[in-house]
Amino acid sequence: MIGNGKSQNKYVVHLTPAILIMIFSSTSALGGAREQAALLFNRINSVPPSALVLDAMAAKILAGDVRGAALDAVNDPAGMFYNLTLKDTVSRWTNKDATPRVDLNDYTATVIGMVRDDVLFNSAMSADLVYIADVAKAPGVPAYSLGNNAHYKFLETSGANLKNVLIPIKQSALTTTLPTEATAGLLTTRGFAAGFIKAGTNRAAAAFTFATFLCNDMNKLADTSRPDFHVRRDVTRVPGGDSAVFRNKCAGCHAGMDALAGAFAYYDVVAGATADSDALVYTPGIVVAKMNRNADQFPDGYVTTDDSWTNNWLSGQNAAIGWKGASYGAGAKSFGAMLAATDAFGTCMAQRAVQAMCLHQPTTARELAGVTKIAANFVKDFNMKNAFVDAAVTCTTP
Amino acid sequence: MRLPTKIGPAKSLMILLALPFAIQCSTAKVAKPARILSAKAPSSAIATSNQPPAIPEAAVPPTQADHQETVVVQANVGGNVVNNLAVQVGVRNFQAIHMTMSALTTVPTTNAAVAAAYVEHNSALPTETDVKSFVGSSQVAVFKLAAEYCNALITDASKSAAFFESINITDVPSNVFTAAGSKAISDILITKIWGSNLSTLPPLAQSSATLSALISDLLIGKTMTSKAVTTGVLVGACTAVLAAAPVTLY
Repeated sequence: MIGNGKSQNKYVVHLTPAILIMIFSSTSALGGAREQAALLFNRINSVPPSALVLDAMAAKILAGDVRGAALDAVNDPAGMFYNLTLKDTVSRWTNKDATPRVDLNDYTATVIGMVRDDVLFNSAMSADLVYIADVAKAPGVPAYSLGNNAHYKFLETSGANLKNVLIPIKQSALTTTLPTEATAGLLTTRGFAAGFIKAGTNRAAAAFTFATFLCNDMNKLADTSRPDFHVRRDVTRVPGGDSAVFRNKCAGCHAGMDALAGAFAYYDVVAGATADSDALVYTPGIVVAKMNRNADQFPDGYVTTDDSWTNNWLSGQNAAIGWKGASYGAGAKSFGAMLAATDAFGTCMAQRAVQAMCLHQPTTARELAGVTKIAANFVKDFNMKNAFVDAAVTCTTP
Repeated sequence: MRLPTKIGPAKSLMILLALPFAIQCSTAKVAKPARILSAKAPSSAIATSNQPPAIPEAAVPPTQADHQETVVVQANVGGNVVNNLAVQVGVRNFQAIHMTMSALTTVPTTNAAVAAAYVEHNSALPTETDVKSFVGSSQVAVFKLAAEYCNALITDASKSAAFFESINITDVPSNVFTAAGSKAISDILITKIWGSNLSTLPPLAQSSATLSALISDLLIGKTMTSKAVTTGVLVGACTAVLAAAPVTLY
């Protein structure tokens, strides 16, 4: 198709060293308005701009309105910021491997909708809200269900423009499974459940929520100074015959994590024939069996009897998270609201935005200053779209 | 200790930008990264061995680390230089490459041949946007996907007519690929796929001349009266531009 094999080989060899040369000689933001416009559009939409859009954005930048140009890129009719950039970013939040190579689901779609509609993002883990497709704009789309992902898979395979087709709706109104009090925004989406509630002991639901929304994984949170009265029975107190290991290692995570994961005591996933047909179930008043299994490991350990949770990390090293909400509660909704009220939530969301726009974790002085500034603004309006726009400006300004 | 190393943008960048169609670019001519770095920086600024570079800390103002053109090499002992580079450029990942090629060629992602190629090759396309994760097999997948997009573009009469505007690409090679014809085709491929009037790109004349040379190379030994040859050579030229770094890097 492209000439004989010999010719073809001549053109594709030596690419890797050449790519490295480009890294070293990066001129991605040379300072011209046109160059910044191109970079801004590319980072926001993950695709290049048309010549007309590039000209218009460059003119805006020349006039001193870089932020306006960034907003224009976000609002581009093709919707690639939502369909591509945001989808890629949020898809990584929905699975333990943090890979974007997963199908669109209700978790991702709901974040996309909330960003598009400027919904207060501190309600992301507590609202009775999910985004689904407007049937009028996506004819033939299967109904939303907590029992399968067909609704969102249809949108993805049909190439639906998520910027246009998504509409907000109360999750409790869509399904009889989840009453309002059982909804917790993203934490009670089928996508979240399939990723973090399926199998296991529901500890992953708490652990990955901390990792995603507070940018603190268990390695960072581990604190052996906290009381371990809430550690469940399935954690042996003498691993390898040495009780010191439990106290000096295991308890570091379990003391806080087990006390918080009780929030998910009534949630479970019924495995379907395929990952797409795993179903989220909610059993009010009945603790799911996996919360109390393997009781013989340490029969005197904590027994989960309801969906109450307690924050054992209020003091100690994790006080740095900046807790401002409740220190105890019941259910996923209050747990999510508690996390969204921390200082770490704002900082983490700013980091996520900067990482998405700079294409790497914030490391330079400029990027770190950008995170601080964006976080300060974010906690005033909890507007993720503004966070992304400001991050794009930070990452593309020479 | 962080060591800023200013790299001149001129020659090395141009070599790269023209790489996919720089036939004469032998291994010897594509300088290795360490060599290019050391050409512009004090030899001690590059940690190429286990010996830490001897640069006085006072000579390293931390604010320089922010400059887009500055490559920061973290002094390391026993590590490798690439892992410690702070880079400001990223690589489009699998979905972005797919969508970008679609946008640039006007061929929809739902085109049967393109969709099939994407299914076949997308696992080899980059998952991360970190350019350091880009490997040779990623480029092969990019190349194959680009070839399908270009084939779909060139063989679609209405799309190719719109893309190449007034240039007649339906004739035999001897009429299409005259010197002026090759230049016009090269110009339009480069400006429509890479963009124009951007200082981040090499000069159009230089890129266009290199692409015209590629077209000439592809025509060697071909029947100049066969319209099928015209199509094949156009697909090849288009693929070279579409699979290049100005498209995949951002």
